Formats: sequence, C-alpha cells, structure tokens
Amino acid sequence: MNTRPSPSMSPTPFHLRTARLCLSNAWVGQNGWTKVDFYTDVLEEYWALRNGAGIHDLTGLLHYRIVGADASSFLDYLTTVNVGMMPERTARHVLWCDDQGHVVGDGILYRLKPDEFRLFTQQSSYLWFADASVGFATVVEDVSRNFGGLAIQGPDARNVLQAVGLTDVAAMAPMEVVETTIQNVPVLVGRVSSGAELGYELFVDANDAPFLWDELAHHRILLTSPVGVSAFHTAMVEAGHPRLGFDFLSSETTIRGRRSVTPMELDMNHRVDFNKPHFIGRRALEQKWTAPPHQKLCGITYDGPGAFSGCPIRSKGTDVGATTSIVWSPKLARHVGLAWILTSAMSGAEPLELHAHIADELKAEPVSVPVSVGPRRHYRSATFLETPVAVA
Amino acid sequence: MKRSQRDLHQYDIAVIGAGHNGLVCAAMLAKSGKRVVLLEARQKIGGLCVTEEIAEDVQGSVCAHLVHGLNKRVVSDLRLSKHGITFADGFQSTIALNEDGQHLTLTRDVAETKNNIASFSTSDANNYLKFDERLSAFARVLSVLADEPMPSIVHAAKGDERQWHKARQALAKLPADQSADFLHALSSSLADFLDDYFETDLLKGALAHDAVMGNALGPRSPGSTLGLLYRRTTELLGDPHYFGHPIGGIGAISDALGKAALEAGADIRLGADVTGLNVIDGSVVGVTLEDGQTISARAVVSSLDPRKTFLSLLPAGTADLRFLRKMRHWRCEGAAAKVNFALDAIPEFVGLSEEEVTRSRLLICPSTDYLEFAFNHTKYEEFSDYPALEIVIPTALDPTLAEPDQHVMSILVHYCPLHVKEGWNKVRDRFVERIIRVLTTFAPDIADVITAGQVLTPADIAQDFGLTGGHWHHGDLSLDQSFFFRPDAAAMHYETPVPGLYVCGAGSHPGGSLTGTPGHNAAQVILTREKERA
Ligand SMILES: Cc1cc2nc3c(=O)[nH]c(=O)nc-3n(C[C@H](O)[C@H](O)[C@H](O)COP(=O)(O)OP(=O)(O)OC[C@H]3O[C@@H](n4cnc5c(N)ncnc54)[C@H](O)[C@@H]3O)c2cc1C
Repeated sequence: MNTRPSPSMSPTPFHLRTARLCLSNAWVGQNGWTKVDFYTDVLEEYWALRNGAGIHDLTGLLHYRIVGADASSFLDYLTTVNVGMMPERTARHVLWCDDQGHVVGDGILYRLKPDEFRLFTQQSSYLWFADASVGFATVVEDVSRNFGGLAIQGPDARNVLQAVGLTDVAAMAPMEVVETTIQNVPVLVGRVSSGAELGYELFVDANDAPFLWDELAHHRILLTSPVGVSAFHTAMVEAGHPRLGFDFLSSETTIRGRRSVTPMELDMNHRVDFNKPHFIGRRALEQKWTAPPHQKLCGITYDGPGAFSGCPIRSKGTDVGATTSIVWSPKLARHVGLAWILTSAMSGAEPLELHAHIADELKAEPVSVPVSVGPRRHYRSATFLETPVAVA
Repeated sequence: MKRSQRDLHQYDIAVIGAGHNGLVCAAMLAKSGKRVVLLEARQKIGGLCVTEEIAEDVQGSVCAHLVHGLNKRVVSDLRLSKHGITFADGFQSTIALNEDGQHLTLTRDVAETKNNIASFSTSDANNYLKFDERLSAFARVLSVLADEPMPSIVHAAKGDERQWHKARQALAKLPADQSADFLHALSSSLADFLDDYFETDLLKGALAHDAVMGNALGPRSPGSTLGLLYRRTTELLGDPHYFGHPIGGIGAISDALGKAALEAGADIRLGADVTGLNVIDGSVVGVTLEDGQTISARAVVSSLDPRKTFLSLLPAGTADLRFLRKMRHWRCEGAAAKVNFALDAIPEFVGLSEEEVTRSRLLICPSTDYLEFAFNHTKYEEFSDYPALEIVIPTALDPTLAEPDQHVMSILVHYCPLHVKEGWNKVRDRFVERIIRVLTTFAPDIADVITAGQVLTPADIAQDFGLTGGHWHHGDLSLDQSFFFRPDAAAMHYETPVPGLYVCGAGSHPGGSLTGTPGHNAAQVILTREKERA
C-alpha cells in the first residue's frame, strides 16, 4: 500500500519560529508549503551561510520512505545508480529516467538500513514511484508531512551540532548518514550540503520541529542565522546543482520532446551504472551512451550588468543556447549560473555572448555580454570535504 | 563459441499457450528447423478453439464455433488439407430472425443477398452492392497491413519502406472520394456508418452484430466500425474453403494445426502451466512451470494476453515503466458469453424449415438499437434481458459430436459483462433464463428440448483458459489498441522491449478470431530476428 497526503498550502512545522523572524514578510511557495524567501537581507543571510552557520527550513522538499525486502532492488530498477552497492548509512544523488532514458526526476537517497531508504526530491514523482514499485515487496510512502527538516551550512556547522550534543557528527564524512538523538529526540542527520559548504541536513518528527529549531537557532555560544530561500538558492547555484523544474524539466512534464534531457546532457554520466540489473531506460541509455550529447547543461560566468536568467546565448549571431538560473555570486563577485549550450558550440573556438535587454524608461536596450563556459561548479568551500580525524 | 552457447539451451524457442496462434507459430518455427517446445497449461490443445464435452456424452465447440477467416498462408504453409479438416456442408448463410417471422437471409453470394434484401427495401438492396464493394475495398487496404508485421512509424527498419509503399498503393487504388470515407469509417460508429447505406433495421442489426465480435463497444460507440472492417479483412485474408463449421467441432482446426506442429518437429507439452519467465542479464531465457520445472530457450514467444505476459509472467523490474503502464491500461474486459445447450430434438423456429435451422447461422439482433440497449447494461455490471444471440446447431450436419438423437445448440451472447454486481454465482441461472426467454420468442418450444447446458461468462473464460478478462481478442479491438498500438508501439512487431521475448497471440497485431495471422506473422519476425541475434 502506497500512501500520500493531500496537497494544500500550509505553514511549515517551523512556521511559528520562522514567521517571527521574517521581518521582510517575503514568502514563497514550494510544493504546497509557504516558506520564507528572505528574513531581513539576502546578502547577510548568504554571508552567514558562507562564513558562519546558516539554518534553512528544508520543508518543501518531498520526503519519501521506502522500505521492504525488495526496497533495494526496487531502487535499482527505478534509478540509474547502483543502489545495491550503496553502503548503509550513506547518501547519494540519484536520477531516475523513463523508457527513453530521459530524466524523470532526481533526488538525494539515504540508505538507513539494508531495506530502508529515504528519498528527498524537489518535485513529486510519487505516481512514478508507485507505478514502478508494483511487483516489488516494498512500500513507498510520502512522509513529507510527518517530518521537519533543517539544513545547517557553513564553516561553523559542525561546531554548532556538536555544541547541541550531536557528538556523532564529528567524524561524519561527506554523504554519511546517522540516526541519533538530541536530548532523547530522534534525529536523522546526513552530511549533505547543496551549497558546497560544510553542511548537514537534520530531520525530526514534525512535532519536534520547534524543538530542533530552538536548539540550533538559539544556541548561546555559537551564532547561527536563519537563511531564506533566496540566499540558499544562491549558494546552490554557485555549487552548480541544477534544480529540477528550473534548470531542467522532468520528462513527465515536457511538452516538446527536445526539452527532455538525458543524464549525459546533464553531464551526470557518473550517475549511470550499467553494472547492475535492468533499470528503467537502461536500453535507451546504452544506445545513446556513446553518441555525443546534442546539448549540455554547463556552468557560465560573466561580468556584467544583471542576472539574466532565461536569455539566449549566441555564437556569431546565432542562438546556441540559453541560460537557466543566473545569480550574482557575492563570493566570486561575478554573475554565475547554468546554461544549456549546444555541444557543437562548446569548442571554445568561437566566443559566446549572452543577449539580454535592460529596461530604460520607455525602451529596453539590448545588451550583449561575453560569457565563459566551464564546469557547472563555480565554488566549493575548503571545508566541504574536510573531515577531522576522529580522536580515539 | 556461438554454437556452444546455443546448445546450452534445451530449446531454441519456447512458445507459451497452444491456442491456435501458438500452434501456428510453433509449427512455422519448427518447420524452419528450430527446436521448439509448445507449452500448454490445459490438458488439451486449442485454447478458445477447442471441442470438448459440453454435457455428458455431447461434444461441442466450447468457445469459438465458426471459422470465417483462417489465413490462406497458414492453410498452405502448414498444408492443413493434408491433416484432415472437412467442413460441414452448410453454415454459408446467416438468417437474421425477425419477430414477425419475416426473416432475412444473408449469404456469401452478394447478388443473392441483394435479392433477399429487396423484399425489405429496394433502396437497401441497391445500396448493398455498393456497401459490400466499399467494405471490400477498405478491407483490401487494411489487409496489406494486417497480413504482415506493421511497418514502423518512426524508425524505418528494413522492409518498412516496401510495406508502406504497398499500403500507399492500396490506398491509392481507392477512388479519391473513398479514401476520405475510408479514414472516416475507421473511426466512426457502426450505427452511423450503416445508416449511411441502409434503412432496414433487421439488416443493420445483423451487420452490426457481426462487427462487435466480443468487443466492449456498442454500435453507437465511436470507432465500432473498425470491427466490421476487421471482419471483412480476415475474410479477405482467409481461405474461402475453410469456412463455417468443421466436422468434429472447432477443435478440428486445432487438431490439424497440432499435427502440423508435431510433424514439423515441435514438442507439445500439455499440463505445462507457465508461472514465470526466466530472465538473465535482462533477457528472457526460458520459463518456469507451476511444478517448479524450468525450461531454457534462446527465446520465448507468448500467445497469452498482453496483461498476463507482461504483468504477471514477466518478473518485476524487467521492462521499462512507460511500457508497463500501457499494459496496465490495456482494455481486455470480455463482453461476450457462450452458452451451449444439449438438445434432444431440433427445435422449431417460427418461419424456418428444419433444413434452414440446421444449416444456417441464426441471428437474433433485430436492430442496431437492440444491440446498443443490450450493450448499455454491461457498463453497469449488469446483463441485458434482451441480449443479441448467434446460434448454430451443427449436429444435423456433424454426426461426430453426439448420438443421433442428441443435438448441440451453440450460442454466442452479446453482451455479457466480466463482473456482475451480485456475483456470477448468484445470477448465472437468471442469465440463462433470459437467454431462453429470448429464444422462446422465435422457437416457442425451445425449453422442452434442452436437456443440459453450459454457460461461459467472460469470468469463466478467463478462469478456464487463463485469459485475463476472458476477451475474444485478448483485448478490445479498437483503433487505440490496433495496428501500431497492438499491444503497444514498442511491441507491434511481435518483438517486445524485453530481449528474447516475443508475442504471437490475439492481443498482438492484427487481432483475434480464428485467423492464425498473429501466429504466422510472429514466426516470420522471430526467424529473422533470431538469425540476427545468432
Ligand atoms: C466466447 C467466444 C466466442 C468466440 N467465437 C469465435 C468464432 O466463432 N469465430 C472466431 O473466429 N473467433 C471466435 N472467438 C475468438 C477466438 O476464439 C480467439 O480470438 C482465438 O481463439 C484466440 O487464439 P489465441 O491462440 O491467440 O489464444 P487462445 O486461444 O486464448 O490460446 C491461449 C492458450 O494459452 C494457454 N495458456 C494460458 N495461460 C497459460 C500459461 N500460464 N501457461 C501455459 N499455457 C497457458 C491457454 O490455455 C490457451 O490454450 C471467440 C472468442 C470467445 C471468447
């Protein structure tokens, strides 16, 4: 039996805490929840995340619980990664594709036990999961409303968690997961960070959400700051993580076939493992594997007058791509972001230019800005991968 | 290396289900030198094309009862004439019964039929020639597509262009005004289509009846005309000498096919209920039987319905999801029932001679509205008080079925839902009573001559023949489940998205009825593909 809650716009389990702090009164919706866009100032929140410890309400992510004797083989069928080989208490970024090898969705998969997993996604793939699970001894449950989740990111993140009593986190390597407690309250902790910082995700029962917030936000010694969606998103773009629904579309929702993308076009070949039993889209991917992808989602940077999302990129006057998410990176002091670019235009031989318009009174002035194309990851902090040697 | 790999398998090909399509496919493959095993769950070959005891010491065509389109290539390639099928000297004509006793006889001779219609309506009589010619012209176009694997829509494969060319030529042969009519006919309702030609209800009822063929479509359902075109297509592709009632009942066809298969070297195993397909490295490499036995084969061909093949035999995780979703949405709720009575005398029908009763197919379907009303009930899990009936009493011409003083009345009933609200066990008797009541209108003494009987609702057919939904065609024969979509774009070539697995039953292109066409087409594809794989 697969179950899911009914969708409606609702406050997050942290609302009573976040609302008090949201002086801007700027809210955004995500998957039916209302979230703080920014509390007081985007830049301040951003720097807290990069220099101290920022706390972000993760509600809005969809949270699935996948359990049962066949959970692992189901996930091996569903996703393109090798779930069978995934150690317990680790997390992975996973993709799932359709019959044509087009990406349907992506998310972070936690393996808690041999037969128990959690999957966190930006957009609902519930029907896809439910349909794919037929015939497997496994249950897929949408537990998004049963849990409250917080991300804590920044160089002080580990110290904060240790200070509130989460001693287990000291030795946690990136993508490691532990089930632990704070003052007897069960917490699921993953060293997962979307902003390329030292960072963790913490999940507690929805009823314990205010408790978790109070523990992290009101620590007497270490300073933490609440971080809204905007600053969190900026860090994510700097880190080069494409977002489903913004930077690429699920093949379940695309209207024009060309807008569906393969893992190769997302430059995520390392997320496809043919060394495992059949998975959805396998045959199509095997066929497409060796052919160079038509287009790729790349990182772009430029110095210039604005954050031009959704603008054409041209080479010698012809369109060869378009930007998706562009942000001003406070850390790099440039505009950075993601763009779809034809592979044929990526040789570097021809300069690429971004074309946009800047409104000026009654007219809009066309501007063209030279861009450089490179890896998607624009920034990663030194502490992102660092794990202190455990003291005996 | 290749050879030794091949020899690891017990068989080159395992065919699941010894219905007539499985038999044809197995025989064709064995004839080409393949080591073939045919696995049948029941204790008898034939599937729905079977003669069995319908009452004590009385044999009958349990399900299908008349042949009207056994593919010529099946007959010639398997040299069926050699395996001893003879047809009863009758059942070439249909009598559409009218309550007032003024019946209408339709024969295979168009001119004769036209004359018969003339006593109802001269305009209908005149239009009948045109109607018949149109139907044949349209069916000729379809027969080009039906008699071979479908050409691909997108990825042109070898041979596609030739076949598209043939289809275009066939379409081009239609006069300009008719090609539009053709496309229109494909999607229009029977009632509308027939209204364009005729005014006589009795005639329209009879023609509509023959188009339904077990589909869950009423004559007013859009797209129901396809059934009419399909039937004519199968007749065109069929061997005209293989028509009507075979001596020994319909199972005689299966018996002859069985002999052909054995002679070609195929093994046939009865009581071999396949419970799973065995998959290694993503390819089907054999089957598991109910008793746990496994049989390995380089390739497996299933003649079962698509849902059973892909959703119950294929292990979870073997096929891609969009494909499986389509199979889950495959419509295959049966809509026809079969009732077989044992009689101790030939019943009298008002206005018919005994010879007419025992040599003709009798139809009770006085109008398209009658048929549509009968259909209405199935939507609400009810059966109609006034079903349409197709009746054959073969025993006067076929003494092999019963003792001389015993007779069989074989009745096809439209419509009959798969499920009824009350549950079939509670209302089965009532269902038979209704049928007898309808019969009584035309044969007042019928109740006196019935000695025993057998009812097969779609639920019974599903149960007895291992057929999801108990559907005549293993799935509605509607435009969205035909041609490119039978059973799906990814499996219309009898190849399936799973390597090593093929389909060949009524649920594959072009569809059901006793034609052998899917089985024959599938064998063609399998032989080429297996050569490529070797
Ligand atoms: C009530 C009724 C009346 C009909 N009347 C006519 C008619 O008069 N004229 C006509 O042309 N057509 C008629 N048809 C249609 C025709 O009978 C079918 O379309 C045709 O017989 C289908 O043949 P097939 O070989 O594809 O499948 P089937 O005949 O269904 O054969 C499938 C075989 O597979 C076997 N099987 C199932 N599961 C397993 C398993 N797990 N392992 C091994 N074996 C298995 C079954 O026992 C069966 O033998 C009628 C159909 C029905 C339901």
